[in-house]
Amino acid sequence: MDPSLLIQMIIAALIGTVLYTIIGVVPGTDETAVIAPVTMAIVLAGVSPIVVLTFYLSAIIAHKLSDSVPVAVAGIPGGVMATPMVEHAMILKKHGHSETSIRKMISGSVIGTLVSVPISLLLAGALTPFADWFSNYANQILFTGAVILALLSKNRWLSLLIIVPFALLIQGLRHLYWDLGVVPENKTVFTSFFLGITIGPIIVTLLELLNKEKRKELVRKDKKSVKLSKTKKQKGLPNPFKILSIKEVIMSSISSVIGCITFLFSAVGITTLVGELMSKSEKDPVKRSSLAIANMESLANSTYIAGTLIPLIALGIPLSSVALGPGQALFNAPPVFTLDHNIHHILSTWEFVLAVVIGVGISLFITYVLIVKYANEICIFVFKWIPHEAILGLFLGLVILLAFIDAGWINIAGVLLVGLVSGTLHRWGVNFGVQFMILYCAPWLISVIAG
Amino acid sequence: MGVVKGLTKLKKITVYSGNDYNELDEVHCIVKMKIQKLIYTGCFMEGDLVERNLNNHTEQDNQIEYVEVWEDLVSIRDLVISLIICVVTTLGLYFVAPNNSSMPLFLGLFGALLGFGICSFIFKPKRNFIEDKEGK
Repeated sequence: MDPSLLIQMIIAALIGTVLYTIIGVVPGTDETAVIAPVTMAIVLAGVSPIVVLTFYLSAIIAHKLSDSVPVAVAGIPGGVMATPMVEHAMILKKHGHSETSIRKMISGSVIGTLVSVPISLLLAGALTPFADWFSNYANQILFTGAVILALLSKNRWLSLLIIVPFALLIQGLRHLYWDLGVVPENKTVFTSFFLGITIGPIIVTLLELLNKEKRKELVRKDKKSVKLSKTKKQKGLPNPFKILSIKEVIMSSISSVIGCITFLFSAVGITTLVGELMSKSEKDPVKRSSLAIANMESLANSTYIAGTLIPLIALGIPLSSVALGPGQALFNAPPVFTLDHNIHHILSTWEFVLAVVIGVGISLFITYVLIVKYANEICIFVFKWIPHEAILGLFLGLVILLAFIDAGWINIAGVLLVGLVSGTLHRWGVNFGVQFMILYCAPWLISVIAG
Repeated sequence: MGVVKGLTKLKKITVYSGNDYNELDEVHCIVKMKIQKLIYTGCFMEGDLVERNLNNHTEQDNQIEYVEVWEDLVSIRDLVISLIICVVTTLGLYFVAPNNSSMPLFLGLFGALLGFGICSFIFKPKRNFIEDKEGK
């Protein structure tokens, strides 16, 4: 292995860890919207695939871990994945155990990672013989996936109904661009439509601000109040296995295994469902909450790692909610990666293992040290110095840039349109998974319907 | 959130809101205010409005309304300025970059981070801090 590549991987892991430890703490940041655009840009910039994978893995680990920290410190979820933990963290806080929440979380996440990495590699190995079959029928599988996810959506009938019209919107824009000559015939616009879908809900909210009536509904008179709990300083580095009771270690490990096996489904859904089920066995409220927190964190980590690694190593098509969301750029980021030529095809098994060891290892170690020692300081820093406006600006700036690169100025309007439609659908209960799957199978679906 | 509100009432709370800066913050604050003043006068507001927004913080807090976007509060004016700054730095650096293979995208990415840094520096988060004494 080229030593300069190794150094690049380590640097990528460090940048991913630091950047997403900060972004993870910011309230409301959705992992897909914050991780996918940056990974996308790095892929398109021509960074070596193994370095991209290392960056991505360190980013999801850091983001996942740090988005639960404000839950323990301030009772505010840092991201969607941390929402199920709020209730349990509040119970612990009420009983004066804020620092317990933090420690249980990180220990849970260490266990989730340690369990899920080998299991994901094993499961991926077991699925590899079917890879050809999967890639031959990728369109049909993705379409079936869209239908299944639609049936599981909050608003299932609308989700089903919208499959063809949404595919029409995507293909309509693509054909328009080809007709106008803004993109060459052999290029399929993908990246920017994907980003349009991920930031759809924000676009809808921002456009609503232009509507006087709607704006009134969103107005708040006071600033957001952030209640910080003082936690004691930690001396030395505690052993994650000693923080958890034996029962918690066993339960978290079991949950992680379940999280790996159910990699196809929504990460948030599985985390809430299994996390709550597992903690039911404990009667004492404090013990139950700490069990639930450790469990949920280990589950979240394992659904993330398995959801990325299994489809990536075994199949090469994004067949899980994580692969369709934050991990998207690893599968499809034309012209660098396509479904026939992406990280799955480029990296060998031992390169995967190396990227996992460096990306996950560095990220886990750094976030573990930082959070055990400085959970409070990190939260105060982010809450006090990082305004929400800057975060919104960062991602919208990036999306506009990628939209322009994809298909010129006209595509900024195109992305706005896709975002507006998808954000409205999302609000009406059509989940992102359905929309991403439609985005993938749109060319096939429309050509089949047109006959 | 009902739980949070209830807890606040029950417990003794000490408030150190965003307005009570310590010494280090003060220096930062002065620089920041100067830049904000430049921007506000430059593109958006009448003179008296600028003074009112910058000099009287408590008054400002009472008068300015915040809107909720993506689970956190922003002021519309700061948001618009932020979006402009970030788009300009991102696209700007992308276009001035030397046109070889991946340089433009790298600089574009850097531009986005630069815009993020500038906005973080000139705008204050719309959050109040309450130090919470734990139960028991």
